[in-house]
Amino acid sequence: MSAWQASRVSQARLERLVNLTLALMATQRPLPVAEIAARVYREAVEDESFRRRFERDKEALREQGIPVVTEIISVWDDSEVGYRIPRADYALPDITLSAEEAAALGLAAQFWNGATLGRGSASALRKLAATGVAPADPGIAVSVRVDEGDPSLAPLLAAVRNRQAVRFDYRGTRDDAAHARTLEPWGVVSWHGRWYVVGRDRDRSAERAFRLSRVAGGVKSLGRPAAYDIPTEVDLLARVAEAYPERPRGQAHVRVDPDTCWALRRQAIAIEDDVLTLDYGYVDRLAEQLAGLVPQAVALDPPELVVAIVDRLQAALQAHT
Amino acid sequence: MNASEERLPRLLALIPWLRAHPGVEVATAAKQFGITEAALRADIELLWFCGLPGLGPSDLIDVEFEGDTITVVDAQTLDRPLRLTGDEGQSLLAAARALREVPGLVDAAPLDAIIAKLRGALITGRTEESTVSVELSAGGEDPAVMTATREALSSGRKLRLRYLVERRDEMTERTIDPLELRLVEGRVYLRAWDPSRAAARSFRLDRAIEATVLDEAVDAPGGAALPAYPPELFAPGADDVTVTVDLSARARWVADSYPVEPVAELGDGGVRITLRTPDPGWLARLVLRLGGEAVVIGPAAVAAEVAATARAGLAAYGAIAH
Repeated sequence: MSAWQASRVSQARLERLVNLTLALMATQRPLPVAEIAARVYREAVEDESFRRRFERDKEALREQGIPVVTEIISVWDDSEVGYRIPRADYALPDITLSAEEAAALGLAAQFWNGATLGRGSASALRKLAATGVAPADPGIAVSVRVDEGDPSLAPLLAAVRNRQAVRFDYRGTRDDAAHARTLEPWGVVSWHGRWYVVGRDRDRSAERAFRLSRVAGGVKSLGRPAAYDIPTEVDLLARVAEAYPERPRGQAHVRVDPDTCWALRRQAIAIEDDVLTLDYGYVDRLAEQLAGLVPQAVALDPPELVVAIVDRLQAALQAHT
Repeated sequence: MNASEERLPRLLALIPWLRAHPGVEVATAAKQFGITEAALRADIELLWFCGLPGLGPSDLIDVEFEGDTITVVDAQTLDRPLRLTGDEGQSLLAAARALREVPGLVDAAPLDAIIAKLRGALITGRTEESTVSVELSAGGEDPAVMTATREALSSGRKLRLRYLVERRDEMTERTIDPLELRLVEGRVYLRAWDPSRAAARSFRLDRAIEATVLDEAVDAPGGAALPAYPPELFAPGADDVTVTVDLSARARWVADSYPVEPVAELGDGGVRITLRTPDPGWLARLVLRLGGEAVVIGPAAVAAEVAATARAGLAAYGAIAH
């Protein structure tokens, strides 16, 4: 099939899915299969290909969360079933917000500025807007920075939603070699600016929390969805906090050219002879900042900071030559 | 899920949204949905072929273009959007729950109400599992300090802050003009204008011992919240350079934090964007920071500046011969 033909087929399928949704929503009584076949698909109900298509289409709607219900039509023959979408179960209910609630929604609305979770927020707000519900200016300027840059975040969120186990390579804290881990994920946590996934490690038959930045390579899903239960009443944040007690902060020395790097100078806890002393929580955050300040600012120590900065510069150089 | 099934939720959300915004401009609608105008028009053109069984003239979904605006004439049962999916609910609910846990940041009651209403709007039978949790604050901030800071921010008044400078083991008092609260990496910072130093500073609020709202109004330059980037970098001007940058999935947040125009989605979650600025040097430095996750596609002069600065930096680190 050519690309054009493939796109025509998917176009046709989309039209059919929309038409099926409309037909099942518009009806007061459950529609029998024969009627759906004739009026929506314009095919014969005995047709094997119709049956298969209808099953796939019903599944596609249900996967989107559209409530397609199966109901027995006839009082005398309980094998005859029909389908419909109850409007009350489909439609977003009426919501009214007080002024304070609209302002609170305004705060929540600007929370995520990344694509992974921001997309969900944006989509939710569009649906609310379609029913006239809008967030309001929170009244105070608050900005939240929750980094969603980790590429493992999206597949892990999907795995949690589907309750599907995953496998990934993980660089342990003791050695730097990557080992394969199998996890039943329960949830993801952003704690002290870093993302973690919490779940049941199948190999160790115990609960574990993994830092996403140490996941090497991709996250592969394993087995079927709905493969396990997520324990209720688990405080994910508390679990991560227990597993990763705050490390002592590090200290770095950075040489700066005269009359430069004013923001960095303000961050320093001491300055002597153009050498700044800086406290830091995470090496890669400081490395990112200092990579943008070359060649006026040069880190002297610790060695892992210098290596992280040089790696960044080399990667940037490689991408631009 | 294949491509057509991913487009279905948007089609079903489009009609109710357009119906609630009659006469909206196509460009505005496209921007709302995060798609190009061409994609929006393609969606409408597809929906023109959809309707109630029979597909007679009065059965079809009717959406009309008038010049650059668009209006739904007949939504054929799609007058309301589908309830919130797990992803949608999870995003807003995780945000609301996270905000609620920062002591003194926001009143709990309206947030609790929002949380309840959003839960009630989820797809029937789906309960919200707390599968995403975000800790915004490690809890070191004094609620009284937070409350005073909030009051000063919302009423535009000065704040007197008693503040511990940890490295000097010294208590200090400043009168500052609060501009913005920033929640980063589990800490709450107050970004404020410090008139005694004629500069904006960030104060970690877990080091603030006491905060008092004063009667005086703030006199910070501009009055409004200082953005994270100097505004003059982005006011369009005659000397502006348009830079095209490819962002990987890890660097995508740049597109959300600065005024950029999306050009195309790239494979693996990356995106190509353009950004206009009179100061490409600033952009070159941002690109350097991102260590290969952002690549300048053009103009060649800006890409060359990135490479040259990287080389100069590596030389300074002694890693390569100049």
